[in-house]
Amino acid sequence: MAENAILYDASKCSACKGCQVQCKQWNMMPSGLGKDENEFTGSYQSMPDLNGDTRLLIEFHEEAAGDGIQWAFSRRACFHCTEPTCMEVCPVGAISQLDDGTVKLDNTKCVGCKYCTAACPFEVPKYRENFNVSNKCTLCDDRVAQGREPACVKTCPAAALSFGPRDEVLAAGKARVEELRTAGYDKAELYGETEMGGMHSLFVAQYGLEAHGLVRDPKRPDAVALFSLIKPLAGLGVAAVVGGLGLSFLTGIGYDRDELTAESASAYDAAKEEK
Amino acid sequence: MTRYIQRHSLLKRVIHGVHTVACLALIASGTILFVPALGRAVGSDVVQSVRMLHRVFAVVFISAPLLGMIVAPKGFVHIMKNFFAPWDADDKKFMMLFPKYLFSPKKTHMPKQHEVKSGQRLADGMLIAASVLIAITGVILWAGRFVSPEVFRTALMLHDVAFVLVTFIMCAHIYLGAGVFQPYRGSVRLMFGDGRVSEADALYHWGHWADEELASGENVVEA
Repeated sequence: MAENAILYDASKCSACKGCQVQCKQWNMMPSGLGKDENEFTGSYQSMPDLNGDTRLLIEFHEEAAGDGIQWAFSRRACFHCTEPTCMEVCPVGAISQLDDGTVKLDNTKCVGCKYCTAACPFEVPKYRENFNVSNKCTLCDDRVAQGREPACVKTCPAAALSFGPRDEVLAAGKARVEELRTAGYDKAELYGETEMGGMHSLFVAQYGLEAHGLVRDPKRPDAVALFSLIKPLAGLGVAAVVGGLGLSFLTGIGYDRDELTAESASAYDAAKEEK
Repeated sequence: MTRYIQRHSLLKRVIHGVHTVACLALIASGTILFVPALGRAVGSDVVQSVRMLHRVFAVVFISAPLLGMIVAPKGFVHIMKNFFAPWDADDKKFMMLFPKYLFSPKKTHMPKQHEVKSGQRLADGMLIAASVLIAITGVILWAGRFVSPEVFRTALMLHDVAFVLVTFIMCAHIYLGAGVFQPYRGSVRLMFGDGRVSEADALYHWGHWADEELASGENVVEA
């Protein structure tokens, strides 16, 4: 099966948040409806970050411009890495990689340990408290399996989101970056081509990665690298300890000693001192 | 008539027993989380139950020694005094000879020891340090939703390191303490029996301490 990918073009995005709403609607993720339930972010951004009920968030990165504010919009969601560290650390195999590159979190298997959040260089999976599971974008694998686009792509009115075979999406992303550079956006970059082994959610960053809040050259956290080092070392260590103790046991077979008394021990000590 | 020395009180043995059960249960349940392949093999329902049990035993693991400290503060001070006692020549010699003793007990004569052997003091120190680390990081992991992913990640890594240390030390502790090692045969009775040690064993293992106890006669029992 060919690999699929989403392309988000920040230069076309109007930050209408339609994708954010549609994601919630399709995946039946509620929004906080109580008064002041969502923390005010100080901008038009709905909430400070993804949360247990929000798999996709449109971010408003603001920068002071001559006559007001200039925005760099971002689509924050799972990047569906080719080398997903979340999958590596999941203790129950709730995270898997589908043939098309989608990194799927199966919440019927998830035990809510939050290891995936800790391992993700983007801290994308979030803990869904009411259900005691982690939650993240599944690239609408249910829709894709039926030949449909992910819900966010389907709803985007500005055509800032597109979906299709990864090689085509990649080519489109590169072409768009070239267009933007020609139009004077010198810092325009494509994010996701090679990062984390290549992502299945690509990003046209009109103003450069940093302006859109993207992590340049993301790496799996050092702690995750250490986990994968500790585990085989621990296995070897346990084998060495058990082997060593087994050898010690064998060398001690047949061990016997005289029953000591205070008197015999003193006599032994005295004889030893005399020697 | 054999002479025995009462080495451990009932309270100490009960706390040690409860702590042992909790520790072994934590190692077993922790292994399922530590090795993803095991967790995947048993399935998420089992892992979820194991995680809950892990927390129950963690509470026992942390509270048992704390309870002991509260109920018997003098005993705790006594343990600490032994723990921090300066090492004399016999203590140092014991540690130098111990590797040889472990692999040729029939040909190695060990020096007399005080109430707690120098080797055990060293192992106890590592075990206490690893246990404190595993307890603190465990609480942080339990409170995972209130800490940042970075703190969670660091706590998880330290928890894993402490887990490995505790597992190693426990392997050696059980080998010696349960008397699997021939010269230590019968020592399981000290913590999992009546807490008494025979005169012969006391003189062999803790010569200096046995001399003092037999001289004072305070804890000497004849049976």
